[in-house]
Parts: sequence; C-alpha cells; structure tokens
Amino acid sequence: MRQMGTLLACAAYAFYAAFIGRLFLHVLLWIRASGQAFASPAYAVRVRPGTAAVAVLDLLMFRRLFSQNKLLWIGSWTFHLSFLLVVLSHLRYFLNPVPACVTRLQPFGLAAGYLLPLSLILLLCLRAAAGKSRYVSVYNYFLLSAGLVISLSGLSLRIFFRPDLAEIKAFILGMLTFMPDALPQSLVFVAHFGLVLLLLPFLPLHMIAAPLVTLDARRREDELRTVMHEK
Amino acid sequence: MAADKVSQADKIASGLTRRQLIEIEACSRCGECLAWCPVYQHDKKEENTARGKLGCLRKMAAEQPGAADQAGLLDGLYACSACGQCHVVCPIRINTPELWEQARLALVSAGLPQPEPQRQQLAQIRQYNNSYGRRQEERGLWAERAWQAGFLLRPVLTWNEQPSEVLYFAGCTASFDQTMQPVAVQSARLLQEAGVRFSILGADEPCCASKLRRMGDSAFPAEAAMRTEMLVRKKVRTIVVSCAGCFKGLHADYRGILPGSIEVLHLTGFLNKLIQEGRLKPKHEVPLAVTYHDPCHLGRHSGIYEEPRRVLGSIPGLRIIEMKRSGPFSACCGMGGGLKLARPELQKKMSAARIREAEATGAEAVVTPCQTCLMGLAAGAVAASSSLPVFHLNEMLIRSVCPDINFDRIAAKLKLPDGPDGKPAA
Repeated sequence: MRQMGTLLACAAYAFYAAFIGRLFLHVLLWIRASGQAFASPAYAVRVRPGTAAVAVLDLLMFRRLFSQNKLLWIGSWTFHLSFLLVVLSHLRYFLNPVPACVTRLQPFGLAAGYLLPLSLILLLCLRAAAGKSRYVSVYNYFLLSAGLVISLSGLSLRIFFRPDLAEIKAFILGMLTFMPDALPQSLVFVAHFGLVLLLLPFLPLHMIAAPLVTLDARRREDELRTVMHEK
Repeated sequence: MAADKVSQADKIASGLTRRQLIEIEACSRCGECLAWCPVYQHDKKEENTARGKLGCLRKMAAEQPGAADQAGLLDGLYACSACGQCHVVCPIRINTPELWEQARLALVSAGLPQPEPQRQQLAQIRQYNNSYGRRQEERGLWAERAWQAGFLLRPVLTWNEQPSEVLYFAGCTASFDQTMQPVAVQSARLLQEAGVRFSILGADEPCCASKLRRMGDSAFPAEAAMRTEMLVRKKVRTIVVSCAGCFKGLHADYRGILPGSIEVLHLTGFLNKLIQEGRLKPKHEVPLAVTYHDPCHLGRHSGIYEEPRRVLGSIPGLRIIEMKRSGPFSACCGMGGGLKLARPELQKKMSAARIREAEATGAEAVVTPCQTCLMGLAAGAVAASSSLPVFHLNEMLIRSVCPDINFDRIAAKLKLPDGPDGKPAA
C-alpha cells in the first residue's frame, strides 16, 4: 500500500506542477504584455473608497448576474460560496495542528458540502432548460459535471463510506512533506482525490482573472463618468 | 506555414494590453453573452459571441492556435457591431467593445485580412477627412442652403467668422448624406429657437475619426491628436454633438487626448437642459405613441438613457411605450462597428428584428436620436415589410416647437441632383 501511496502522491505532484506551471506561464504572459492601448487615459483617476466598496460588493455578490438572471445567480453564488467553504474546511486535512478558525468553520463546511452538489445540479438544469443551442460550452459542461461527481463522492464519504480520517490525514501530510505514506484503504476516497487531481489542470483561470477584471471595471466606469460629467 | 501561424498568433497576442490579456482569461464561459448577442440571434455561430471570440483569443495568446481558431476569430470579430451588449450582461464586466477594437487592430497589424469595404472606408477617412469621400469644402453647405431655404432663424456662422460659446459638431453623415442633412438643420434650428449662440466649423470640421478606432486602424491616436490640436487652437470650450457615434468618439475615445477644459455634450442632453431652463419650449401637441430606440453609442457606451426620454416626455401629447429590450438591454440595429460594411445582410436582419420588436409595443412610430440608427432602422422596416415610421428625436421636438420645418420638407428642399460621378452635385 505504501508503494501505491507513493504512486498517488507522485501523480499529485505532477498535477499540482501542471497547474502551477500553467498559472506561472499566464502570469508571465501578463507581465510581458506589450500591447499599447488606442489611447491612454490622461485622467489618473484614483480609486475612490466608494468605488472600491461597490467593486468589492460586485465581486462578492455577483451583482451584475443578480440584475439579469436571478435563478442563475442563486446557482452561481451558492456554488462559489459553498465551494469556498468546502475548500477552507478541507484545510483540516492539510494543517497540523488545525487552527481554531478552521475548526470553527467545520459546521459551515458541512452545510456547504450539501449545498455544493445541489447548486451544481441547479446550474446544469438551468443550462439544459435554457433551450438555446450550444448555450453550454463543452468545457463548461465538463467543469460542472466533474464538480458534481467530486462533490457527490465527497458527500458519500461523509454519509455512506466513512473512511479512517487519521489514515487520510497521514497520507495528505506525508504527501505535503514529500514523505508519502500508505494509500488509505477507502477506494471512494482514492476516487475522490484522483478526480480532484484530474480536474486541477482544467481549473478555469477566471478564478484569478475575474476578480481583477471586476474590480478594475468599476474604476474604469468611474473614470468614464469623470470624463463625461466632471470636466 | 505553421511557423507563420504561430508568429501571427504571437503578434495578435502582443497587440493586446495587459488588462486585456487578463480579461480574456476572466471569462467564466457562463454563456450570458450568447443569450443576449444580437448577432448570434441571426447567425448562430459560437465565434460570433463574446465567449467564442474570447476562446479564440485565448488560444492565440497561448500560442496554440489552430487554423479554425484564426478563421473563427476573423469571422467573429468582423461580424460584430461592437454594440457592447455582451459587456452589459457579462457577470465579470469584461470590457468587450474595447477588446474587440484592440483585437481588430492586432489582427490588421499581424497582416490578417480585413473586409475590403471596411478597408476602403478607412482609406477614405484618412484621405478625405470624411467617410463619404467628398470634398471638405462641401461640409458646411447644409447650413448655407438651409438659411437660403428659410429653415433657419439666422444664418449659421462658421467658427472662423465668429467663435461662440458653443460649437455645434454635425458629423459626416448629417453634413454629407442628403437624406440625413435635416438632422443638422433641425439641430441648428432648435439651438437658435433656444437662443444659443453657436457656430460650426464648416469646411474645417473634421471627421471625428472614431470609425478608425472602431475598425482597428492604428492611425487613430495620431488622427485624434491632430483634431484635438485644431480644437485647442480655435479655443473651443463646449462641443455639442448630434451624432451618437461622434459623441462617443469625442468624449470617450479621445479621453487622454482631448484636454479636460473642452466639454463634449450630446445634443439630447443639451436640449434637455435647455427645456429644463425654459429656454426651449415644446408647445404644439404631438399626438403620437412612440417607442424609443437607444443607440448603442449613446446608451450602453455613454450611459445616456434618461435625457432623450425626458426630451420626449416634455412634448405635449407624446407618449412613450418602452420596447421589451430597452435601456442597457436595447437590441442593436447593426449599424455600428463596421458590421454593415462587413456583413450587410446581417445588419438588415438585426434592424428588421428591432422593427418587429417596436411593432409589438403597439407604438405608432420608432424614435431615435442617432441618424445612423435612423438609417439602419429605416432599412430594417423595409426588410421587415413594415409600415412603422422611424423618426429622429429632433423631428418630434421640431413638430412641437416649430412644425413648419419638418424632416421631409427639409430633405426635399435640400436635395441636389446627382452629378456625373453619381454623387450629388455640390
């Protein structure tokens, strides 16, 4: 089992490296960007506190989506929030000792664990019901489906196939310290972990880029208003 | 060949700014743009949507483009009216119109083909300083002829004859297109009725050059700088623009070029102010139920939705019925972004669909404050076999303020016989 554990840990390193490498290449591309805009703003508009606050609200509450598609907003917002809570509550497997804040987060993480697949099912249903040809891109469909399978397998570990948590934590910590431990006995866990690894290289970079764009959009709109009305 | 493609892809990616490279990664592929895109409604290709174009650009930037990505990007970018609907519905707020303009510039710089009619129009603007390929000396003739025909209260003077507090900027279409000259004449008359002291640039009025930017011409910054220098030299303080495209050009595209001391206003906003101040009084009843079409350049691009509606609301007897899609969600008539030049059949379908939407309101007419939309919607009415009349907003106000100079009367009076080149004789 130790050999299998080492094998899975090595696979994990490869997938993490692929994800970080992809991220690094994109950041490098952004840093090296050389394109010149048609015209550069002469108005060095500073970001006003109000603008920043509105931009943060846009980001946290998906306000643009709320204004135009309430059902999609419920699905998207619930998905992102529950995904964040699930990821944060999973930190208890990666940290030793477990910080108090992560412990306090566990009940919320548990609730989010139920909400996550429900929100993904809602999103998939909304896409299917939209009735517009190719409304769902293949990539989008893949992400939603993979997320659903991962979240359901995670939930089944909680409800039906309770694994030995000490064994799992030992494996994770061993992997993180480059001293891989034995593979946990639970096959459902191995499947859950493997699926997360498979999804890693395909994770959309909008997780990083979208907040930057959303925050900048308000500043830009503010700048345009300044140009129009405050000369 | 493969190396050529990679090199072209690299050129395209390097033509984008840092913010835009981040923007192409920010798309969450949610598909809202697809649900709203007026082009996709009539040509159901993924590349026509913002999501599709962003996908192609992403592959270009990552230097793994296939021939289909390049072809798809070319198709999608030129089958786009840059109406900004995808920006309005994008949950991430990706600034798509600017991205498309910059991508067009990048494509042209990378040596990729641009639709010939667009290329010709850009060359015409650079050569003649107007998009009609006409002599600049003819530009201000509408004012002279309108005065001679008795449509104006006073002669309209040029800035060189008498600088004023306001510069009225008519734009190429209202200056050269005879069917649209009434827009300039009625604008001038309304300003005179309100007692505004204004002048025009006449033969010195340049093309605003915003089409250069819309269609990705690298000459735009230099051309805009030249025009700005002229406006500064003439000590212009306030510019009132009747064309929505010129307005977007001068107030938004020139930001960073035009000094802050020069104020740019759209005619509807200025008229609204004059009405509020009691300087312009709509007095005659106009018993019409109309629906208002928001021009993309005035609405989504500039955030002007209320002022034109307030102007219409001030006209006695006139009632506004909103279309299903209005304000920020107003469906584009397809006249912007060079789409009509690249894909005329698509523009007709878009404007016909908009006319059908207007008909569904039960309104007796469509009103818009943009002469380009006016032309597009009129063509749409023909394509949709609709008898719904399309009016410029000026016409509604004129009917209430000074009904003697209606649009058709001006057009009939100012029409010149065609010269030997097929263009109206000056």
